[in-house]
Amino acid sequence: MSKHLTCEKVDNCFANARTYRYQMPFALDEEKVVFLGQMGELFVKKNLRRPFFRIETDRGVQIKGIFGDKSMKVSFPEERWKEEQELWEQQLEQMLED
Amino acid sequence: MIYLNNAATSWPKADGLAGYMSRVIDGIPVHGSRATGNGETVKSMDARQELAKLMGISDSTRISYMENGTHGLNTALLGYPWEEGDVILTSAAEHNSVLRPLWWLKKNRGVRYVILPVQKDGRIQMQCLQEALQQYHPKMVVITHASNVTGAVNPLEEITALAHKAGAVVLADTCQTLGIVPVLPKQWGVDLLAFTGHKYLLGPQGTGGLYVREGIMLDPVMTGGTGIFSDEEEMPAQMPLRLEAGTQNEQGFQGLGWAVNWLNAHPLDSEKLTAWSKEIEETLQSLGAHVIAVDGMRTPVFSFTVSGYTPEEIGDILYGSYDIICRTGLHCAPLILPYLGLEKQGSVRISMSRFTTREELEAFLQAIKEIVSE
Repeated sequence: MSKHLTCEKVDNCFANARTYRYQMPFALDEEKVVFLGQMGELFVKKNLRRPFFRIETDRGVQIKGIFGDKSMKVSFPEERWKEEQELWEQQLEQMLED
Repeated sequence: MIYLNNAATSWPKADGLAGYMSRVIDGIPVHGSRATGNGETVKSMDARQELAKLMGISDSTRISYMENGTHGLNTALLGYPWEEGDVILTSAAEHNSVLRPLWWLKKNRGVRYVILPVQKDGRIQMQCLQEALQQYHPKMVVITHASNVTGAVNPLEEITALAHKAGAVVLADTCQTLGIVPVLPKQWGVDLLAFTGHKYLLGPQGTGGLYVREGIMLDPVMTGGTGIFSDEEEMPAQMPLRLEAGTQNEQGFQGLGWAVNWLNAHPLDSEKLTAWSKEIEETLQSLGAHVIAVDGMRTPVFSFTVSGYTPEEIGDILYGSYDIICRTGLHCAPLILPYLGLEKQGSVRISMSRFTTREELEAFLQAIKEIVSE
């Protein structure tokens, strides 16, 4: 784990699920969400009290969160989660450093 | 914050419980017959008596204290005098607090169990029950009084009558009903009945119980000190002590006694909850949500899904965007999904309490309206 990212596993009903909550160094406002949207297909539900976003990468990683929060949930495909998590974290680190 | 997760654990509790429990903790402990004196500095509340009154039981000693409903169900199932090859009937609506002990019995004691289908509202299919009673000649029927996923209440009295006619005893899981709908084990002939203190009884966590009909003797799952009869090698035969090894959560049960006393003194406005339940169901349906519709007697529990979002996402939005707490997923009842037409991700579940306000209900419906709107 790098200097930018801290995460903890999110347990749910599904024993094989691989979802992690990542704490970001900034609040996820619209600008930051659009920035993260580079990672895949971005969906934003704006007309909520606090908007919701979902990003799905072409490798099946899903990133979800609420505008204004400093954390987001990232779900990795069950079969190859470790590999996908490492790749995704590297990509995010690169984006944050650029 | 709007709390709509009362089927998991109730909040808030009745006004006064926290203060009473604080005084109990500060006061000299009540230790029953195990101390030379109880030195009661706080009026002690007899949870057993209050529970017996609520359930229409004349002999309160038939109720043993348990840590929770799961403990009660495990005590009933693991302590029952099984023989290898015995059969248990149960339903696809059961909670893991029934399903996992049944699996353990199968693996370790050679007891078989048969899962009966449920209707699309979560109630057991009575025709299937009747046929299975004839086919399998079970020793026991284990049934939830109400589904923790849909809120549909099973006809426990009728189920018990059918089971008895076929020679089976009945173990009822009333964790979702005691405190919110009538539960009358003596009147209905139920043999064993487990319940929890922290849901609709409005008591603290760490409390629950098991009612055992006169004439049934369970082997205790836990053995140890009982404070009296210490010169006997095994746990005493008499109830409730037989199933109460060690110091019980006496402070917690003081709180439960207070809570059930409060319940007995404050009848529920069930008409209001019924009307609001209908409104929630109809409004969610009109908004395009897939709601598990329930007719007849129900608890204020609702499961639904929204197209375009997983249940987990809806739960995250309700909490993150609207400060509404609910529950999502399988609700520890993994077998019921296909009968309800739900996908493997389960559902969003909201559950009201008698304290849920009109404003909270409207805020929830408004949130769903905004989520489903274009």
